[in-house]
Amino acid sequence: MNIKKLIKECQKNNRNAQSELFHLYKDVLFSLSLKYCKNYNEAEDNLQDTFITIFKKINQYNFKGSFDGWVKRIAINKAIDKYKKSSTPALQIDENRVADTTIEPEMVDFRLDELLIFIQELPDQYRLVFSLYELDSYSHKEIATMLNISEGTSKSNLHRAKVLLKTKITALRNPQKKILVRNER
Amino acid sequence: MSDKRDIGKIFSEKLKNFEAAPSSLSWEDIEAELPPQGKFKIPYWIIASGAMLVLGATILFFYISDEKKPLNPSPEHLQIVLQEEQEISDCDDLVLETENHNNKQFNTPTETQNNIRVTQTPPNTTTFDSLATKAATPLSNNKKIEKPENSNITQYKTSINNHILENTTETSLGKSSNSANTNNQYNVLSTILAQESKLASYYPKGALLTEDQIIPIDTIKSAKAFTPKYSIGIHLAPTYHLNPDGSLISDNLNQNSNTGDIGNGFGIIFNAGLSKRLSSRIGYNHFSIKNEVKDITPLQFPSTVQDITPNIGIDTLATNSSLSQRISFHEISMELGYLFIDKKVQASFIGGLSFVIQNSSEIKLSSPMTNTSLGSNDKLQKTNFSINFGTNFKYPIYNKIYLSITTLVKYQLQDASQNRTSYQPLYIQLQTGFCYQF
Repeated sequence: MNIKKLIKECQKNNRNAQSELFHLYKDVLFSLSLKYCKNYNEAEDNLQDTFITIFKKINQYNFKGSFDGWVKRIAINKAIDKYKKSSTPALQIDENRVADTTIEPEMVDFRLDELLIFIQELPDQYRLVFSLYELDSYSHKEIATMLNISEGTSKSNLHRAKVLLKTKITALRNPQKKILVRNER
Repeated sequence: MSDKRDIGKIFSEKLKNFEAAPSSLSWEDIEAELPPQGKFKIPYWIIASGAMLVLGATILFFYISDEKKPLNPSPEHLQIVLQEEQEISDCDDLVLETENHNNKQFNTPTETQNNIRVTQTPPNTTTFDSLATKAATPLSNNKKIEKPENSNITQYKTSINNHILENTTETSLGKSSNSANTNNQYNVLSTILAQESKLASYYPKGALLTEDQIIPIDTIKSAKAFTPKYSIGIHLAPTYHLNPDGSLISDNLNQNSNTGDIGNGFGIIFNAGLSKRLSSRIGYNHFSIKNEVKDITPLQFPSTVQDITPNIGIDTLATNSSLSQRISFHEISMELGYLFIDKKVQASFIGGLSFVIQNSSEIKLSSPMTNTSLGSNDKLQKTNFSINFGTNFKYPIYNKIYLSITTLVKYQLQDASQNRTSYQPLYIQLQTGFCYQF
């Protein structure tokens, strides 16, 4: 069954079609959720919420845009909604000491799941901004609208996320270096 | 050591093809959360057709029941007979009188029935002879009936308990037997009426009529003299939007207070009479409905904007705000009207169906600090149907020009928006204007 027919069957609340669509997209959307959530369990919860929303709202999909983009957007919105419901204080870094966000590529020679953990360990707002901007190519304007922040805040959060990532990676590669990190609270 | 690169770009490249599978989440977990299968939604066009069918049948029922009053000949019924063989054209008057049953001139089924028959009193008088238990009624109860000037057609008019009986016949039909004991020997009024009015065909020859079954003169006149009438009119059509729960703007706003407002409108209507009481109306209206969603929080705003149209250039809300939405429609209406008051003021029940096409939609953000248009709502349905019910009043102003006021309740048969928490708009339209009847 091609995707268009599959979607139409899902719009008719056909269970078999819904199951097929779930198996078709679960890995893609789970991978996406892992980049926006704190950990594996939260990503699975996000995936479940995403699919429930997809099947409830699939009648709203009018075949005009990419279906992949539509379902990914739902997954991202779910993660953002979760963040908005539990707004946690952001970390602040002494920017004077690590303002540079460039790094030698060989320093980032980690497995993909390890890279993912670096992202997941970022503070919520930093993680969302970093993933939206760097991994899913949203603009600061779009991110600002989605997260209800200003464009300046989005840019600042992105920079701080990168600084934090560099700090952690550098610390792992050079354990003797200490980076001052303090909680904003 | 190679050149340094932005850490974000490095992460992006490495995670580009990253894919992982959930280990504990299964399809069954999702399925358990989904709404049950088999919830079949009846297509709106079936609902529309059904509504029209019921409406048409209802109007037809009233129409037929008003003009068609079949009778069951029975002993209790009135017998109206022309007694004399004399030519009707010779009659000058008809007199209604009652007389004792014992004084009857022909057999009647029972002596206690308050029946009436028609007799003709030579040379110039016809009598309605009542077979009552009482003696003849006082003269004050008698009704004089004028003889029409037309020599070929004779009309008998008499009033019995507020009913007016009109008899129209050709002279030749006025001849009947005066043999008193055989009902078949008398010409029944309906036989005579049949010459002029199809209504009389419901009265079989020799039919027995009760007083309340005598045809009102208005009905007979209308059946005889219907000529199609047409009118064309223009009107203003302000429309008040009644808001149910839900939101046409965004699912995020379905819990916010949602109030209706009055939108402008205008239109043209063409009315064609199908019969004395039934008419059809075809019209065009351009109208708008308005609603306002209040108390939108800064937290609700970004996702709400995404539901309407992204990239509007507004990032955040500083304070709670309102979103007002105006949707304008082109409307083609097809309705039936049933005239229930036909005096100086004419009043009709109206019912029908409309096809509405969205013309435009606009959403405005209103807060103490800003009043900005957010553009159009792209998730609204472009077309819809509505069922319409209401009442029309017409009052003559000058010659053939009438003041026309129509109140209509209109209910769209399909959700107005693709939102899950959308609803089917319900609105009241007041069409006030003038029409020219020809």
